[in-house]
Amino acid sequence: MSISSAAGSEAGSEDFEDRATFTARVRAWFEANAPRRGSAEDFSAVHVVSGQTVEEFNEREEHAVEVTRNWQRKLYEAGFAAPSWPVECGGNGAPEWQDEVVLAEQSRWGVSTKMFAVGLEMTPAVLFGHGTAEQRAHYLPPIVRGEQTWCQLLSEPGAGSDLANVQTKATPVDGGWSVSGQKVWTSHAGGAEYALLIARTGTREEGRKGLSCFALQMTQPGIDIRPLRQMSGGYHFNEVFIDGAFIPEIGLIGGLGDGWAVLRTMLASERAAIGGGTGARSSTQLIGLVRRLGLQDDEGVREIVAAAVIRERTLDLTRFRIAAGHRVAAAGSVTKLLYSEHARLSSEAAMTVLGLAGTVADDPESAPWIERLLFAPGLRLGGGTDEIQRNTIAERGLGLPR
Amino acid sequence: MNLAFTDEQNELRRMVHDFLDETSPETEVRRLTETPQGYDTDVWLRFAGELGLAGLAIPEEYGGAGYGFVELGIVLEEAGRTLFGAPLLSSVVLAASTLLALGDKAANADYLPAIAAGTTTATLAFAPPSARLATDADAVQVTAARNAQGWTLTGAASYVLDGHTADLLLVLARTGAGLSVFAVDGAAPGVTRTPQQTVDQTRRQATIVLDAVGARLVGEEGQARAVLAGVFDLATVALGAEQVGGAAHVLEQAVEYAKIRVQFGRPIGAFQAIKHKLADLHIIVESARSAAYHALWVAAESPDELPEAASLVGGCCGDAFVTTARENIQVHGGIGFTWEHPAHLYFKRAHSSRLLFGTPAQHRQRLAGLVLAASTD
Repeated sequence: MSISSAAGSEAGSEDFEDRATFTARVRAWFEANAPRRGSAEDFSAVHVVSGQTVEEFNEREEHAVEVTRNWQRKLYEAGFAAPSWPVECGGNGAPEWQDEVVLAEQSRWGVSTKMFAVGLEMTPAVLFGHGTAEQRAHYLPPIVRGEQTWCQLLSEPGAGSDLANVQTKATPVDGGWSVSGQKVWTSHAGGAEYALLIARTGTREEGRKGLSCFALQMTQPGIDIRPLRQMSGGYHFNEVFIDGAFIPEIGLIGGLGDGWAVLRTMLASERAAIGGGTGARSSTQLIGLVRRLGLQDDEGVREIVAAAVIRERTLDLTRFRIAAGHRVAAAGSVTKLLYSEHARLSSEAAMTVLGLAGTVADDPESAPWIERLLFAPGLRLGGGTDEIQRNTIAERGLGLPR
Repeated sequence: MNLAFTDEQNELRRMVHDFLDETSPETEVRRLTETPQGYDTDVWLRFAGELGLAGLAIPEEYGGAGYGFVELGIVLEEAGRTLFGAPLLSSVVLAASTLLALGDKAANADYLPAIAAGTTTATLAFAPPSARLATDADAVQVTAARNAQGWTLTGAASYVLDGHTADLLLVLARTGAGLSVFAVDGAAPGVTRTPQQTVDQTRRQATIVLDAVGARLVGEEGQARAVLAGVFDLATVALGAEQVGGAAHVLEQAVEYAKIRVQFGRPIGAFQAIKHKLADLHIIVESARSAAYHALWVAAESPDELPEAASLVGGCCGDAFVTTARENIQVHGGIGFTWEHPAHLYFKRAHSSRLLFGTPAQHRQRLAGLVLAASTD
């Protein structure tokens, strides 16, 4: 029985193709539908968006969102968007390995929907872990269909690494909640339909026990989004000012005061999303650069290339090992740290290889590397700083005292 | 690529783990460092005979179990964890791999069954005295001459793993046709074996001087150079698994100590300086483990990829062990610097093993060369 005919009914795993048949079908579909490298729809160029003005950035970001959205729709129509999710959530109720097959194929083609990671990875992690069936059926299908994107409203001016200090307040009102406060470092706030919000429902003295998690509709009065310019020149982040925005009762995810537990799930999923990224193969590009510059026999360059290759391969292999069921303590933090280290290492390596060309941004060889160089510091901060990841590895992974 | 272990492989690991906990505790490791032989014959014969572990990767037709490098890697990782004193790297990895790579059926039939049973220990002599790099075939000093009775070898080799005790010496020597491998009886007249003063007291090395010693050509004359590159790759991968076992063990020791050692009124593991150091070591160890497990799988299933996979292992596993062993001493403080504490045994093993089959810098140069040559950009 094919997946499309199984959709809409409760299907047992015996109703699905075996792995080889499914993989062959996915591969054939990608062969026919995945964007070719270097084409206008090629994903590898749209992940790092920059711009000299807000307008220029927004235009490029909208393009990136559009490309990603089209891809998500195509995946959905083909039945590959979220194979293992229940039918009522927009999936096919298929075995989980089908997700892995699709993900592996996306990685092979260098395409990804990472741009929508909050909606496609963190929101479902939170809703499957803490939400109700009603909430899942309400929020997930539009995400899977590529119709709605989500963002996260977590950090505040006084609550960066110390998220227990969140002060944005949610107050009970008729039929739900009223929210007011200020959030910061929110990616993709502009186009997002919804946000995962952490807000205070108890007193300040209660610390993390006074926090709750909500789904907040972003397209409503009382929400003011102000872009922040980053060191890369882009306007990826935003400040979000919330003044009396409304959340209906269905928007409370997990129990009242359970925000910290929900947040832990969300951050674990974010770490995994960043560390498990299927981003462009930096070392492959570094190797291409070295060859074009004719530096293959330079011993110093070879040492740099080897270091970047070792970091990338061991990251990939570690992800692969985790997927194969190996127990790696604090796996999400391990791959997240390896990934941010890899981004730093490969872009710094490219600068050394480029030499003087690395001092100008309008050289065709240097331009993509400078974007990465200027993006890399952000990867060490987002989703929990490198230092917070090390604490997590030490405390949760190795069992050291807090 | 499949890096998941089977139930059978997990069972193998448990068995080896338990056996080594019983037979190779620290007290025994230390006792053996004081003996001339360096390992316990009874334990070795149980390991090889009773458990069949020496012949794990040797084909069944030559008396082995017919498994591959994934299984052998599991054994080496466990051996590295306990600093198991045994002719494992020398006889089972180097010598057996050399024989299998040369493909001399008669020699294999003569030697491999006894190597698998543990009743013969063998080793490979490849480097001259004062050699810097194991893999520098041009530096080989031993020469082979042919007379009416057959071949004789003359010259010297050093750094020969377990060379002072090996029953069978496989010796790399020059002939008119190039580098070749010869088999020499370790007890033959004209063989002088002198143990070297090894930094790593848990693994012995010797200098072997040959004075017109009768020898048997193994494989074809002039074949060794090409064959040896593959043998060093396999040895690098096997050693990588051993290094990961050692590195993971010292990290575990450092973590356990950081939980119980109290200073300033708190366990030192509560301080971020220690937490972050140990977190970084965890990442280093898991990365090295990924490289090693992948290369073991490649050795067993995808030999074409072996040079690159082995360079990756050589480029990171030795350094991972050195870093972990060094920082383990740092976390332990003064007690870690004492002779009584086991930390130095691992530190010495780490530093020595990192240099055995090519330095990390050499492996990284080769890795870069391979990926730069393979790129089609």
